[in-house]
Amino acid sequence: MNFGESRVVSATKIFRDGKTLVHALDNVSLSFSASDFVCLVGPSGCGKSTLLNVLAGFETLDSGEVNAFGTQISGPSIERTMVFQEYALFPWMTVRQNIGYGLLHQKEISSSEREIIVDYYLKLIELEAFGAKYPHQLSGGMRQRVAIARALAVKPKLLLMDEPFAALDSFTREKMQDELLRILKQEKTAVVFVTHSIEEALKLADLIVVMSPRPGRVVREIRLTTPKPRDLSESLLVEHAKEIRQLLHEQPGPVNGR
Amino acid sequence: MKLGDLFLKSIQVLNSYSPLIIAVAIWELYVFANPDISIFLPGPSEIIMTFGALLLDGTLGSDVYASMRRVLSAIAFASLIGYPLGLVMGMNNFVRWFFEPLIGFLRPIPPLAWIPLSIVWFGISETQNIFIIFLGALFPILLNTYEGAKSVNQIYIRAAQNLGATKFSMFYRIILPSSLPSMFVGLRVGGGVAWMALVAGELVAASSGLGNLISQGRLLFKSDQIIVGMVTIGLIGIFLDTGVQVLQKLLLRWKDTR
Repeated sequence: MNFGESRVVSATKIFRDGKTLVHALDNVSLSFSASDFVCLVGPSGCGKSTLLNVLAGFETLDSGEVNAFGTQISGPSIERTMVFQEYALFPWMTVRQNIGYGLLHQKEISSSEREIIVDYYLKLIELEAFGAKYPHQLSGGMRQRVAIARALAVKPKLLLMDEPFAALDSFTREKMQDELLRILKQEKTAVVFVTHSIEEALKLADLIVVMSPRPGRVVREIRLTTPKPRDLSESLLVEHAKEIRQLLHEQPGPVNGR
Repeated sequence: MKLGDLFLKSIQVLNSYSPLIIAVAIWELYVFANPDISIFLPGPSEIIMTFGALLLDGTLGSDVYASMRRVLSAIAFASLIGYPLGLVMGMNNFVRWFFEPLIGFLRPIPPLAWIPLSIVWFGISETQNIFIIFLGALFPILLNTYEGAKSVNQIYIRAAQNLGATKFSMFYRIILPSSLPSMFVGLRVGGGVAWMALVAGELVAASSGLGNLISQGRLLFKSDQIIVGMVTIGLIGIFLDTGVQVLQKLLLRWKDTR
């Protein structure tokens, strides 16, 4: 087994919706390395969020296997942290307390070390002046930066992001994408990033996984080697965009291209 | 604040209370014009005189003390049982299964309906009085806390699990603070019901307290004393509720109050 790699093998997950069975994941296989930025792209119902939740350990598979860097996934773990679409910052904690929350559960980290780590991440997300603020006092983009810092502070091997920028306005969204690339330059971690947006995937991913709905399947994997930050008007990327758009439009059912 | 602003502000306050002031003035004039009525409805000036007299001879002070002691010890007991039980019910299915039907059966019985049985059990005593008030405060505190702990947003639970939360951390740093707003609602509602139950209990069975002051006033046909008792009850009610609100503001700074 390759410990530098994460694998999803023949993953199948079935939900019951009234009397009908919905194949959220149908025999999905996937592998990526410890430094890969993976984007799962596809319309609603293609199982991309389900796959993310399986990787996080929030949901279990009906059949198939999933491991992260050689370890079988059996439940939530601090090694695989999630950035939720709705931020999920704890509103009763200050920015500092939110970022430091996961560190509280790592016994080998003393409280003074914790403060140093929190300071580091506050600086990394450029919110040094906001440590004592509560989440409701921040803008959407700032909140999402805190959520990213909170997930990264525990040094996960895998960062899971569930449409993290979907709730932001398009300007903030683009800024956050650049910000994320900048932050990830300093943090060596694999990322699995769910998105509706083809542009977002092309901008961020090393590996784009295009999925189709009902049943949820992988229809194409595209590896991008263009260095980041990227110019989306570059001909290779334009080609990829066209290809993905075609793949998504071939499928029956509505496609939400945002 | 400038002196001019202060002046404007006090005009505003005065203005918002002017209907009350006008009503009191009409009341005073009406009683002055019809002296016969004063035995049933004494004028404000007479009530203020009686208030002063009862305050000076210590009657009012000792009655307020007796009532406050009862109501505060009852709320303390109700909190001691209601808060932990409510939280545990919200978190544990077995405890919920066990207590929910019991509470569902007991709750609709008004605390005052317990007065006769409680007299059989405890005699006309301090314990009996506190028991009635306790019942009044218990259910609002218990049920609001339960509701709060039960409806902690699932995303916070997930985020905490994801960040390695221990059982203690999950309770102390997630479920408890998230339930705190409902716990305060419970305290405010419970406090209000307790205050009502206190007066009712004292009217029926007590030899001290504000309810007893009113009861004595009725026996002696002293309407002024009755009204002094009533007004004092109202004032203390406002005072207690304001106290809880101040505490609430302090502990729930993180709440978005916009």
